[in-house]
This record gives sequence, C-alpha cells and structure tokens, in this order.
Amino acid sequence: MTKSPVANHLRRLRFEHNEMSQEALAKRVGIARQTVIAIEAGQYAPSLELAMRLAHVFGRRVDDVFFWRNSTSTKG
Amino acid sequence: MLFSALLSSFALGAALAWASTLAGYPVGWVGALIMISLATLVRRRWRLLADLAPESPERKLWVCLVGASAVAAHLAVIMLVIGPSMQMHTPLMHILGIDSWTLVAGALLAYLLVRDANSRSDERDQLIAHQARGFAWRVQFGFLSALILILGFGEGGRAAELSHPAIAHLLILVLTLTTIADCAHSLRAYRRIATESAE
Repeated sequence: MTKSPVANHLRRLRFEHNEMSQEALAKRVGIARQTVIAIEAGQYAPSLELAMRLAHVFGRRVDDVFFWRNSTSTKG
Repeated sequence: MLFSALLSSFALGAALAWASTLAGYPVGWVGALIMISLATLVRRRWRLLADLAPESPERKLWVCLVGASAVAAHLAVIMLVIGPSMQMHTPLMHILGIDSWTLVAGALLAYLLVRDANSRSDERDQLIAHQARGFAWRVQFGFLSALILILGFGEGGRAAELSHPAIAHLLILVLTLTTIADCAHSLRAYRRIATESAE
C-alpha cells in the first residue's frame, strides 16, 4: 500500500479533544487501533463511511478532517 | 521474521515426517506440543507489549502460516518417501493422516491461546485479505497449470506412475501452498503498513 493522496487532521483533532488516545478513537468508530495509526500516517485511506464516522466523533465535516495532499490530485 | 517463521515451520513439518517414517508410528503430537508451547510464550509476550501486539486477524494469520507450512512440509516429505504409487490404508498413509490432523488440532489450540477476544476486524483487514486472496489465486493458478501440463503431457515419465491417491494428495498440497501464499501476503502487508506508519 503506497502513501494515500488523502491526508488528514486526525492527530491534531485527537489532541484538541482532551488528548483522546488512538485506542479510544478506534473504539468510538469500531475499528482496530492499528487502522487509526495507518490512517493518521497516511498509509491507509478510509472508506467514505469510515471517514464520516471519524469526522462525526469530532463534530466536523469530512472535508474539515480529510484533504488532498496537493491540489493537482483533484483534477480529473 | 516472516521468512524465518516459514523456514522453521517447513523444517518442523519435514523433521516430523522423517521421524514418523523412521519410528514407524505418528509423532505429530510433538509438533502440536511445540506449536502450543510457542503460542503460550507468544501470548505472554503480547500481553506484556499490549500496544505493539497485533490484532486478532493478524494473530490468526501467523498461526495459519505456521500450521499450514508444517502440514505442507510433512505431506511433501511423506509423498517423496512413498513415491508416485501411493495407496490408501497402508501403515505409512495412516501415520500421514494421524500426523496431519494432529498438527491441524495443534494449530487450532495455538490460535485459541493467542487470539484476542476483544479485538476488532475492520475494513483495512478486509482490504488486506482481498489483496491476499488475489495473490493466492494467482499462485494456485500457477501450481494447477503446472500440474495440468505434467499430467497431460507426462505420459512416459514418472507422472504416468502417479496413482489416484498420489494425485489427490498433490492437490491437497496445492491447496495448502495456496493457504500459505494467502497468509504470507497478508502478513507482509500488515508489516509494511506498520513499518511505514512508524516512520
């Protein structure tokens, strides 16, 4: 699995939410802790459903949490 | 790590088959005992290193890889010893059957020991499993194609001497090797993601 073109603010959001642990976030959305680690490191791009669940935990929209690494990636 | 686990398991299966052949009675229980003892040690280590310990899907793959490799090597050695005219219900075939099922039982018990009951399987596990299935399918296709060519065109050689039980056991070996390919591919993916995420 190569580096995902989609990056995210999960690490920052966790710290802004009482320094929520990766394990706690994983439990909230029903995934493994290793998956949270992989998403934060950009090694795994979550499905839309999982991205929405993750954003929901922090009360944000999906595009507040996830973004393209560079703008050229959005061009069709 | 993956390569050493594969080699050790192949060596264990081959050694057990060799020992059973020399002794004239099944010694597969030694292999099962080794797997259970290793699982006990690994469980203790994973409990101590809770944060670094793999989740249940990965643990299952490790046990599957070790068990299938031991069974495959055991089967391959017994087949080499018996030769192409293999027949069912002979003393050596009974040893092969008892040892194989004992090793499978040992692997199941080992999995019960190392599994994490609270662990979660998610979409990343499914993606890794899906990619591994694709790889395993190609491996199986390769083995079956080779077997088809050998059986179809090997009229005069040793292929012509292959009995029905020998062909059946060759197919079992292909299935076991496919399982090993599946487990190895998945474990490599888990390792790669973990390493790249840590960088």
